[in-house]
Amino acid sequence: MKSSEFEPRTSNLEPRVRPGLEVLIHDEPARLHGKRIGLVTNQSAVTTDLQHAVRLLHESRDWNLTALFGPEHGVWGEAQDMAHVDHSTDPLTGLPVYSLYGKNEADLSPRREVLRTLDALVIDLQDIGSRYYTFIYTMALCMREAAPLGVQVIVLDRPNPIDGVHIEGNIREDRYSSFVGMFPLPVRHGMTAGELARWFARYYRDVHGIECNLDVVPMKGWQRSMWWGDTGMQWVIPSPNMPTVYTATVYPGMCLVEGTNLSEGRGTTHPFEFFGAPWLDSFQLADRLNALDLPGVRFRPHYFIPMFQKHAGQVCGGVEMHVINRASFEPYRTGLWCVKVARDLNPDEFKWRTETYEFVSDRLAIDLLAGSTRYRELVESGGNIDDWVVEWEEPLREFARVREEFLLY
Amino acid sequence: MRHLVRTGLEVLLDRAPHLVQGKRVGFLTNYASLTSTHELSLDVLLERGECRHITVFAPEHGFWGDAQYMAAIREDSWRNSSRVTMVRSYDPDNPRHLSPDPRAIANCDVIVADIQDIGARYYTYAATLVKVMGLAKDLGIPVIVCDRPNPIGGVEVEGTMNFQEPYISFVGNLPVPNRHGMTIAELAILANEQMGIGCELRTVPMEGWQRWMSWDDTALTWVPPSPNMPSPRAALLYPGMCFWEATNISEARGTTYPFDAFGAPWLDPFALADRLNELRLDGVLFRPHILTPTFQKHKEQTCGSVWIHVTDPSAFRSVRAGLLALKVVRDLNPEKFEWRTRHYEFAHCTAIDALTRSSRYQLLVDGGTTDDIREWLQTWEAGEQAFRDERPLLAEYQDVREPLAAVARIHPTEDRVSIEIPRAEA
Repeated sequence: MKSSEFEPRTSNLEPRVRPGLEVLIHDEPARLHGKRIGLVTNQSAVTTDLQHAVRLLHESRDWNLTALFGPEHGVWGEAQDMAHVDHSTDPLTGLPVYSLYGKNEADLSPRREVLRTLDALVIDLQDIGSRYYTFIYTMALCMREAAPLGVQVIVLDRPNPIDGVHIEGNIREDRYSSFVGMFPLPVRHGMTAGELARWFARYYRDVHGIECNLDVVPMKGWQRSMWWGDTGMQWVIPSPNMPTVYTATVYPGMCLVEGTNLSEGRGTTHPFEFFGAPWLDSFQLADRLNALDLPGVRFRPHYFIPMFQKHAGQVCGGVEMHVINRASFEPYRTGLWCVKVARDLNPDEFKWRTETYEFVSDRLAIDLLAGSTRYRELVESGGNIDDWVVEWEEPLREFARVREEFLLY
Repeated sequence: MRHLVRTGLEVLLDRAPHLVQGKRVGFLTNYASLTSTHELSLDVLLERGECRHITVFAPEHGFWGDAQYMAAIREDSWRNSSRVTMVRSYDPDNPRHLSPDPRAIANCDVIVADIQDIGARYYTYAATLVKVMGLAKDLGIPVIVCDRPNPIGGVEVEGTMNFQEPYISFVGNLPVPNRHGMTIAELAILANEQMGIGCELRTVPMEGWQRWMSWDDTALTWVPPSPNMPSPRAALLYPGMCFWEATNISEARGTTYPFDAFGAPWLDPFALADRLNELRLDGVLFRPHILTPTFQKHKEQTCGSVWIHVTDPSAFRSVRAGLLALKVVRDLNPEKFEWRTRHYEFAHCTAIDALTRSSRYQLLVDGGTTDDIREWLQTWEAGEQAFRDERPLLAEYQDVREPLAAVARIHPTEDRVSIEIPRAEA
């Protein structure tokens, strides 16, 4: 009877959703029999009773786990965002760990000499439902590299924590392809990693002529309308700045702040829910944003001190956004307005980020994040964001039609 | 399913606005007190209260949640209103000033409190309230405590009861166990009656709150009441995970998830999780984790850690889990483990003794076994039961979950449920 909207409180209910990992181990282990496998994963790859993929796959004698691959933040989630991770040895199993987030763009893919020693690459990564989040591209690059070597890719599916129904945003333009948007997706795609893998495989075949040997192990019990709190599963942070499902809920919009000199609240306990800057007036900002009457969200004036990264140690004026109705909340449109309003209040202090962002230095971070120059131009010219929002509607409907074929639930 | 809960302040302004109208009000509150309409309590009192003047007393951390802000943002003004004066009531550099300047209180006709407690004895906001009540008594000024939910519910009680010197400190000057299961208004009643304060106290209960509710059962907006209390999840863990503050183990401050995890550079996360899960504690599983604090203890060091996953909040016993986990951590690496000996929140004894209100626990950890600690924990039960039965509770809050389903109705726009609750006799 009592279930929460956001927080992963399982109460004494049995978990209703079993992730792909659990389905594979308990119901369909034959998929791995006799294979030499590598595992691309991190700390959030657990069963409903919190057994970890590394331990489970390492213990079995029916197959041979020989290598681990860590995405951004590493296998056990130890590194900060955009911090390069080196190759190492796994503390639990003693297996070699190959980093898929090295110093250069070339280091984002598994090395062929390692892939050649494998029959299959198993991928179990918790995605959070935003086009910017890099794990799905780590998965895509694994698929691309494994294909010509005949190595199978097995994706163990997990829930989209912000549900599989709501979609939002413009389709990323090809010129703004990057590690925060390798494919022409809207920001909030409403798909699971397994569904995206099927989409990527088709894309590689049609666009690059690459034929992937892909096997997706679907979850049992997941439905598109489920938010994380409905799954009965424990939230395991997929990255250090993704502490709760609330964070994932606002992330499709608030990640845009990374493309500016505003603080996105990193260095506090509420990253992405706070944003601000030392020169912003919290009350003005909150009043202006609340006056927009954006659906499902209220803004509260707040002050915070980021302990690291942008404006570290300085008091920032800003707001906290409180999602009061997640069903009507439009995270991306809300984020677009937040940056615009903050910029309009202090146009002289506000700057777009010009430093290298996710390995790209020849295009602005905000254009990579928005997947277009259109947003930046609108902000700079004082235009109305909602004029652009209207323009997405038809392309987004087209995306909804195209994605149908790849959906599993 | 979330239930509409209206805060005490809203109820006060609806039903008894004359108590503040035209008055000079001293208001103990901070940025985390919002109403059910997601508005700041201070704004609501200012706009609807028709007070002559409001003097805001901010508790520990300052109005905006961090004392460092004081210098930077001129915390002495509020929306440039001449009707509001901001005063600080907690000065970490001057422990004698744990309460507002009596002269500021003397200028008030009435004190109103609307402050978010989190259900643990160590949390200092209730202690500040008690100090303010004492000053108000001396000055003959009435106090109105507007109630807010206990975010970890109003049923469970857990912990030690000892209320003698030298264990009284700012982390525990109320005669309640570590987890008291009371609201801030109920704590005020208890303090007024049992600590001999005797001020002219009026409490304003919430509408719609029930003892069984955790924060996520209400439709109220969670605002971290202090910077390291980011979620109701952290609040549930806090009564037991506060003990790391008395050691050299990181309680995950300096990450986005304080109190959700704990660790230290020398700990093996896999062995630790296995040992802790072998304890078979109710309602909780421990998962190996690695944390890297960005500040405070073990700053920028990779710490072997476990994440505490509460799988059944109603069965979980935070204090017992914390005390047993600490013993396991100490026994894995006794040569690395250390108790905190530095000054701690104005206590007159060691930190662990202040937090447990006992000198016994430290002796058991250093010289005893896990079973010795379990035995000691069993001796708490009679005291806990007595406290559960005898604590002063407001009659408005019931603990009848099942019958509510019949009268619950879905709010059309906000996915919420509001509940008709029979009014208590006046």
